[in-house]
Amino acid sequence: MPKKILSIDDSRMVHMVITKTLKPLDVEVLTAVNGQEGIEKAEKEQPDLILLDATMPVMDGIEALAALKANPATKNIPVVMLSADSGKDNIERATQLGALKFIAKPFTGDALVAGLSAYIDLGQKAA
Amino acid sequence: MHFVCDFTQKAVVAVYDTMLNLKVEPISHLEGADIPQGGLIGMVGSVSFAGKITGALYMTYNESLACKLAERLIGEKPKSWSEPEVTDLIGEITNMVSGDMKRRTAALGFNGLLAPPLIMQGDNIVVESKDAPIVADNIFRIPELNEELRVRVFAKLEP
Repeated sequence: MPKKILSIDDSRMVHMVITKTLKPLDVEVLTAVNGQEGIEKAEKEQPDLILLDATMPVMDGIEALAALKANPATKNIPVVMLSADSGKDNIERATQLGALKFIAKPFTGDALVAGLSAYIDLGQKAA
Repeated sequence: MHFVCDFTQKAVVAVYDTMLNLKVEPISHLEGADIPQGGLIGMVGSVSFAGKITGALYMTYNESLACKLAERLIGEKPKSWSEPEVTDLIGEITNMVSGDMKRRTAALGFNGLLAPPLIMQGDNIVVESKDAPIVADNIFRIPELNEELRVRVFAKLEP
């Protein structure tokens, strides 16, 4: 069964790059365009990992992270931040709230796969 | 060259290389009063930042460049540069360049928060700052696409 990764980011470009990068792996990428939609999808889909942007409209990533970790239905889902705003304050705040890692944008495919592999087994797609 | 301008150039090169696999070469750099008068023309992605470094960054695209970048990423040519995937791409690239530049200035003690990117489109977009002592205008060449990109930055550092 493929692992489910939920990408919460307001940029379709980022969703596209993540989907393309993870295509050879045994992963299904789900997407949401803001924190609010991300929380709803996380509750419903129970992904194996969440990739979360920090700067988004409607509900930003830090607010969404706090809500995810306060919700019994989503608090155990590992969260990796993926953001252009990787200032020290943002990283510290995200880490305090329970994010496992902070990947800075721009990111290479290798950095993304390495960052995720530390927390879930991505596997290879069956031939 | 002021270090903010140097970091802006490095950020543009890094983002284009990492996210779009495109080599970008700085070909012109002007600061302060040397910057030509007049508005920006085309589609402009903008991100403001505030904190120990305050200001804004503007990346200007013509229609041809915007569509070529979208085609490169998506795999098919957009019908026009007003398509949401094109404006999204321009916004996200600006966001990443601003983030990369800010990460470099933060390492020197000048951190700030980034606002979400804004997209503007027009023939005479006037961007100016009344109290930014650091103003730079950079032009980059993208040889593989035979295109040029203009990046303007306004910044003020707080001690």
